[in-house]
Amino acid sequence: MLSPIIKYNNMMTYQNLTYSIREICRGSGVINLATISIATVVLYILLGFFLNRDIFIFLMETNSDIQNSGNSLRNSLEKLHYQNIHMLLIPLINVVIFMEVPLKEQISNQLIRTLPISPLTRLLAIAISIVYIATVSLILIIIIDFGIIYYIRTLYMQKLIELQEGIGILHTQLEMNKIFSTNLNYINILGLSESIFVIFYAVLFGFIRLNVLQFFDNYSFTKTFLIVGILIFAVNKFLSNFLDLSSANTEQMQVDTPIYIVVYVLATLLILFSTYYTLKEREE
Amino acid sequence: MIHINNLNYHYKKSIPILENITCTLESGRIYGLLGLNGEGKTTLMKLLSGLIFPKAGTISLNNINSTSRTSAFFEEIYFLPDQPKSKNMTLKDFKNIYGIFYKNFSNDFFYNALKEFHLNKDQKIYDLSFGQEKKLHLAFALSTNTNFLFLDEPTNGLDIPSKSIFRQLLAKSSTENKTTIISTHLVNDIENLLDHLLILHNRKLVFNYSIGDILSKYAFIHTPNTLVNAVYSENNISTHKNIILNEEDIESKADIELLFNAVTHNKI
Repeated sequence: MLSPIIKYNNMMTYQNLTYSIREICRGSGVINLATISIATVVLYILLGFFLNRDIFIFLMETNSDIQNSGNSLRNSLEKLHYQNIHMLLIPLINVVIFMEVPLKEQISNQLIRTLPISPLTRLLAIAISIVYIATVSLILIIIIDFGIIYYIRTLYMQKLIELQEGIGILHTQLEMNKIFSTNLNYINILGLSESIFVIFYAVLFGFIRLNVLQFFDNYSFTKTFLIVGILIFAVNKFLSNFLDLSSANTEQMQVDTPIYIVVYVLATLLILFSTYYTLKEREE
Repeated sequence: MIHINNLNYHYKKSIPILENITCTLESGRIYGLLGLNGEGKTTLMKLLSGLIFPKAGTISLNNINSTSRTSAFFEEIYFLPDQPKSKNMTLKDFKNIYGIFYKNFSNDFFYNALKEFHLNKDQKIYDLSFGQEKKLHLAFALSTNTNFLFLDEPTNGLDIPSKSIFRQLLAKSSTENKTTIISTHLVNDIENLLDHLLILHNRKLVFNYSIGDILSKYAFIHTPNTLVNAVYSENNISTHKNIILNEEDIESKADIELLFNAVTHNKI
C-alpha cells in the first residue's frame, strides 16, 4: 500500500512537466527556435523544387513563358496553385530530425530512464515538445507561403489581367485554391484549417516512432521479432482490405464515414496507451 | 532498507544469471558488491534500479517495489552505470537540467566536487576525457543525495589522485539514511570505505557479511611461509598471505582481494 506522500509524488506536477520539457529540448542540444527555423527553411526550399516547382520557377523568373508573355503564360498563371502537402511533410520530417535523440534516450539512456518523472509527465512532455516543433514549423511555412503568394500576386497579377483582357476575358472566376483567384481566401489556400490536424498527426507520429524504436530495441534479431513482424503485416493487410471493402460498399469514399472515424479513434487510443506503457513499464 | 526476496533473473531461460538471491541491506552502510566477470553484478544493480524486472522474486526499497517505476521510487535511487551516456552541454547545464529532478540535490556539493576533481563548470562534456567524464558523473551521483546510491565500477578510468578524492567525497556524502552499493573489480580502491561485503558466485549470493563480522571470524596475516592452519593462502613474491580462523582475537586489516579469492575458490 502506497503512502499518501508517495501517491502525491506519483501525480504529475506542473513543475515536473516544465523540467521534463526543458530536459527534452535543452538536453537534446538542438531543439530551439533557431534550429527548427533553419531546418524548416531548408526543407521548404528542397521540397519546393519537387512539390511546387511552378511557383519557384515564377519566383526566379526562369520560365521561357514569362519572357514570351503569351497565352502559355496566362495559362500557367491561371493554373498556379500550392501543393499543401509540404505543410504536413515538413513538420513530420522536423519531428523525426529533432525528436530522434530524445525518443531514443527514453529507451536507452539510463540517466533519463531513472529520472523521477511519472510516465504521464514524460508522455505529456514528449507531446508538448512535438507540438512545439510542429507549431514553429507550421507558422514558418504559413508565413513563407503567404509571403510568396503575396509577392507573386504583386509581381504578376497586373500582367495576368492584361493578358486576360487581351483575349476578351474581363471577369475570370478562378477557383479559390488558385494563387491568382479573384476570390482568394488565404485560410483556404494556406491550408490554415488543416493545421490543427498536422499538429495532431505530428504528435501521433512521434509516439509511433517511440513505439517502433522500443519494438526494434526489444525484439530485433529474436524469434519474437519475426512472429510479431508477420502478425503486424497480417493485421495491416486485414485492416486495409477491410477498409477497402467498407469504402467500396459506400457510394462515396469519404474519410469521415463512421468506420473510418472508429478506426482512427481506436488507432489513436492504441498509440496513446502503448506509448504510456512503453514509458511506464519499459525494461531494458 | 532494501529487501531482496528469492530473486531470480535470466536474459535467456537456458542461462540463468541470478538464482534465489535473498538478503536485506540496511541503511547507513556502504556495500561492496564483488564477483567475477559475468556473475551478474551489473544485472543486480539494474534490477535494484527498476531498469529490468525480476523473473521471479521481489525487490523492495523502503517498501516500494522496484517494478513500480514510479517517480517516488526514482526519487529514492540513483544508478551510475560503468559507462554513462553524456550529452553535449556544459557541466553547469548538465547540473541545471538533471539535478533539478532530485529534491535533495546539493549544488554546493556538486560544485565543490567539480573543484576537487579539477573540472571547470563551463567546460563542454564532449571536450572531457573518459576519466574526466567519469568524475563529472560521480560528482553528480554523490550530489543527488538519494537514499539509495548504486555505483557500477566507479573508479574505473580515474587517475590515482582522483580515486582518493572520490573516496573522500563518498565518505562525506554518506549519511545514516543512505545505502550505497558499489560494484567493482578494483577492490583496493575502495576497501577502506566498505562496511559490508556481498559476493556473487555461480549465480548465487555466496557471501554476505559485514567487515566487522569478517574480522571477528577471520584474521588476515602475512607470513614468510604458508601457515598450516590457514583457511586460504596465496603466495606472493616476498610473502605468503593467509586467512586463518580468528580464534585468538587477532587484530588485522581485511584483505578483500584475498577474501574474494578464498570465497570464489570455495574455501570460505
